[in-house]
Amino acid sequence: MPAHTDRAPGAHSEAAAKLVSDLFRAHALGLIRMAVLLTGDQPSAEDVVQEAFIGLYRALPGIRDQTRVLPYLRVSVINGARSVLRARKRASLRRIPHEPPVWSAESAAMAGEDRRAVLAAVARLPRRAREVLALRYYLDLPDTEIAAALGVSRGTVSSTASRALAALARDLGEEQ
Amino acid sequence: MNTMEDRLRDAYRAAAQTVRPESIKDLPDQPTQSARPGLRPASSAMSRRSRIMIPLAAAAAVALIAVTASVVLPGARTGHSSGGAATSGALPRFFLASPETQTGEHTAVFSATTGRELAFLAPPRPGWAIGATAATGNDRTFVVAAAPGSGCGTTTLYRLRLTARGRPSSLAPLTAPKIRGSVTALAASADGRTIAYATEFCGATSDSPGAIGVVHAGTGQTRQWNWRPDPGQSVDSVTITANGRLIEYAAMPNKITSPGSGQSLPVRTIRLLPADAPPGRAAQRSRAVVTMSRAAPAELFNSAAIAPDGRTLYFCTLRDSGHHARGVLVLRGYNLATGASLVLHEFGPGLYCMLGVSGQDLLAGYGQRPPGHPATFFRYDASTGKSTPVPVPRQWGEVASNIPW
Repeated sequence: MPAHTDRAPGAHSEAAAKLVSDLFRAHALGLIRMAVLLTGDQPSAEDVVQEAFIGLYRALPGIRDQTRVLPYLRVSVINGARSVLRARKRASLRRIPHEPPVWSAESAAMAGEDRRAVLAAVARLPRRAREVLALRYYLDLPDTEIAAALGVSRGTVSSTASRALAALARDLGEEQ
Repeated sequence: MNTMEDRLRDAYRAAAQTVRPESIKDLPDQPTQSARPGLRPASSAMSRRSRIMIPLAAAAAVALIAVTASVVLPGARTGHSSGGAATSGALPRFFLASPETQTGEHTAVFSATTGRELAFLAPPRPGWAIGATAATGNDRTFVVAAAPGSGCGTTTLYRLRLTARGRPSSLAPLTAPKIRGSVTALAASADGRTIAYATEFCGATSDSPGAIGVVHAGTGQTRQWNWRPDPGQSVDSVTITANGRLIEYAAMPNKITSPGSGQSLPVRTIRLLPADAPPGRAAQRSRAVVTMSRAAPAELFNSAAIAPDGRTLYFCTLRDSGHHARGVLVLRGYNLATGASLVLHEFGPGLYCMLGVSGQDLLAGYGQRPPGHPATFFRYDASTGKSTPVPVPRQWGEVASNIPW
């Protein structure tokens, strides 16, 4: 029988609990906002971030370098957002509606026709392009960190961003 | 900075600002006496959809019980006495899949050895769409759910028969009541007479219920259990034992009530529902046998299937690496008799996986979106751990998680 056995999660210290608590207070809002940019709606974004913190709590004993915690959370949110989009894609194939994205005409959450147009154009881009743009232009992460978060090379980040910006410019009728 | 970048930053900022700090309870203003992230008191204003951040104590509670075992999954291949999908111990020759390609998504018959597409599966009527498919104990007989392309109204069940070369020879309506709503998952017993399904009622809003159901072809007897989806949630997995007595289903995600706070938490569970359970709420009539936070901490549920003999649950999870975006997909087995869980196989980097079960053999696949990342398929013998590649077409994109085999 091929096997790795599962391992019981280790006991969590008070220090770990406090660290997660502090991280939550410091970063939950920002992560939810990032998740909104990827998923389009707040309830999904909250679920994604909630799951990310659940994952962090359990994974914390294995994370020795605490400077990696925030990148870990970002990656978890990206992966969670992908799961949401995947489930939503299936739901939409079956014509089951989900909450309209904040930039859609059905949503009154965000003001500004141009902003809606920009984000609607972003939503038409491939997934990796959407993620690169959100990490670069919302979180202002350097390309090296975006590359680490997405598991691609820095060159891929750069070329993806260039192509995405060009595609947006074409889509929105803006000369580059 | 060019104009496009300015516009992007402005649009992102505006979209992000739609999330107001005050709409997220227990963010910076949360009392600090609790060393729990985001703990907030139950609120009568809390929406049906949970908008809470998880209390650590609740996370700890659901994580507390871990399966640590050196376990042995039951039985060799000869052990599936109640009849697996394959006949006479032979592996099924065909499987159905609905891959997304550059020309769209279609359902087709594929060779389980060569991965070659053998035949396109046309809907039974013009303007209709195939919603879900299921294998039976005969590898040339499948059950197909189809509905008018509008998606509204009812779903009709059909029996698909294949020729020895895998070409459709007939697609005939089953003698069974039509199913209200859109069938999202389908499973059949070995004899093809007991058919389990999940539906999301047509035109559903986030408050509309769906149902898990079972219908007996021939007698037409139907039994349904309601479930209430959240936005974006669906029952992605429904399988049934060969004898048609036990239904497995998994929703993405389930909600459970935290024992610590009484609040609702999104936790993936795989549930078992006796096919003869009285009608009612699916959550009440079923039992959660695998809770992801226990069986696979920090992993995301992907797909599941119960073995035809009802002894083992197979499920696939995405293990978050934390250091790169592509997590590792893991195939697990869960012994229903002992409660022991075992990692059977690590697929490698990926985003989603598909399962089809026949006896102790699985047809498994995994891949990434979007199209252009080829899916990888293989047959896997859970009794020996041996895997055999099935070279499916490279242009496949995402594939529906159920691959009847």
